[in-house]
Amino acid sequence: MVRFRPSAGVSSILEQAGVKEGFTDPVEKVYRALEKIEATKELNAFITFDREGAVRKAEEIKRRMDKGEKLGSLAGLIIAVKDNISTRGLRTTCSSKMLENYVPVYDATVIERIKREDGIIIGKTNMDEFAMGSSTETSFFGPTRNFFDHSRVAGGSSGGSAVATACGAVELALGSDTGGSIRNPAAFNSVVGLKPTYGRVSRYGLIAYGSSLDQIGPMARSILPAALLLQVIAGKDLRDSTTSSQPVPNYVEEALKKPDGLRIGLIKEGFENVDEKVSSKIYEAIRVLEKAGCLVEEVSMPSMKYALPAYYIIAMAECSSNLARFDGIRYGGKRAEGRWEDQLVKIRTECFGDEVKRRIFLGTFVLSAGYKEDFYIKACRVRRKIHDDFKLLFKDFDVLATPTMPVLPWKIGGLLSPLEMYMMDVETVAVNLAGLPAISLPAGFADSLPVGLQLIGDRFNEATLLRISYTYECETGFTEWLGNAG
Amino acid sequence: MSGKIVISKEEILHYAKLCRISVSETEIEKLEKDINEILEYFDTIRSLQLDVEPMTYVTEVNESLREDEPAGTLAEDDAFKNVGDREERWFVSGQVLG
Repeated sequence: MVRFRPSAGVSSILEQAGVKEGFTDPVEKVYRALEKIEATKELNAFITFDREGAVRKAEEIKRRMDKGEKLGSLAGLIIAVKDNISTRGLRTTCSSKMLENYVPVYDATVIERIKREDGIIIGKTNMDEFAMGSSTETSFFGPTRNFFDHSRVAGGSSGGSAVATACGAVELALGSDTGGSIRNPAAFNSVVGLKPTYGRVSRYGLIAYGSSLDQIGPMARSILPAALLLQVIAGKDLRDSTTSSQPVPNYVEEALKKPDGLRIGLIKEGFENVDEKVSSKIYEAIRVLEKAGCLVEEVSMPSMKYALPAYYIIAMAECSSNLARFDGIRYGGKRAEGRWEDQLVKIRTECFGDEVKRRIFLGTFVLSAGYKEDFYIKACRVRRKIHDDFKLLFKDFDVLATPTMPVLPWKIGGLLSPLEMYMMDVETVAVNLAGLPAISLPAGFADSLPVGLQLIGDRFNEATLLRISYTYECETGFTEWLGNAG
Repeated sequence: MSGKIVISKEEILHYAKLCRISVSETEIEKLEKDINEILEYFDTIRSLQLDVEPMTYVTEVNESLREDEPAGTLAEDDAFKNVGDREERWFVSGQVLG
């Protein structure tokens, strides 16, 4: 596999990567994307389209191209947006009946930044309801289907974005990740999904699930476009006080640097209770990185096994508070009738799905008097332990590795209980608790189903993650595994 | 540290009221089973002895107050865009008192 040479300007890099195809007519690109979406509609990746908006933007770009004007770094790229990210004038549902008719009156910061760089937003993608799920099965609009096997789950909660990317309808997508929701569906559809460091990307306009855990991040078929999208959306935002002033590096340039001598730690606990078909692909993927010059060593992190209960306690506690705002009055409401209290209960009972109700319920419980110390506060102590343990590991390693998922994609409707579903997050949640960046990379197939390799980086060190990832892409050629997509 | 925590049907109804969500007779059986199964799993961390402070923020604490000068406000039409019930410039809700 030939390594791409660094060249002047991001445009030419993307051309070399086969993304921009020498920049054909953007209007034609939009129509082709819409045709592709129509041809793959059985996958149920999209909820809402913005045909007029996308064509209008493409026509504007074409006009400015013809005049020789300078265009933004995302010019001509077709982008899908997860439906929990606010888009002005375009319905935003969080895949919930509660927001079935909600149309935001403002753009999220990430959307403003994409539009400023001339990205073309084509539509909003399906997800687990309010991002609560690991398979895109809790959506009010029905499940999204796995790109490689339509009878299986797409993963979640950003399943729609992952499948839209895999099938080639779009070149880039935005997902959000609270406990693995970008990385999980990326792994299940053989695409790249990156969760940035907490505070790297603004959450202004992201409809909140777990405010100390949520991050928006890019999904793509290959590394350089993902790096470019991260570049565009990252950075301080005065409207989100949790964003960091840390400067945003040139992620595309960083990705092109060689990873020689970078130290990878394989987390031993991340390989326990993992399907052997999955772990054997991960070991193969790690050998590729060793051959490329990385140093690999096994390492233990005992606190990892407490990450899952701690995560769910904290996420549920936060969501019970965040979803209190949905009263059926303000966000696409109903005509007032009878007593407010009764109508409030009626609307919340009818419009929230079972999983959402379960989590609001448990979140209320773990915060209640008599239980808060034992559950919520204890979970926050586990969180600090995990955060501190990761910090120690990053003294000896540049990047840590585990499988992204413990199993292969399961059949739609196949998991029996809520707890079984929660266990699917066992590899990904520790990263959100510690606020670290992590990426899922395609690691091959077992039984013709995709496997993902998870790499975890130190805080604000997306650059090192992207560097190792780009080398891995060059060595494996994984973009070709998606077949004739796009 | 006392034994396993198990929630009863009465407690479930109490918490449902706090959440402003109603639970029907048919739903409560399944909910009781699911909730208790999940709580048993959460129990794994209750017995941990950890002498670290709880962590709620993973980010640096930001002093991010802006200058006290008028900034943009939402246009009135936008403010009413998604409201369920409106009377001229009033949001209308169900009866609150009585």
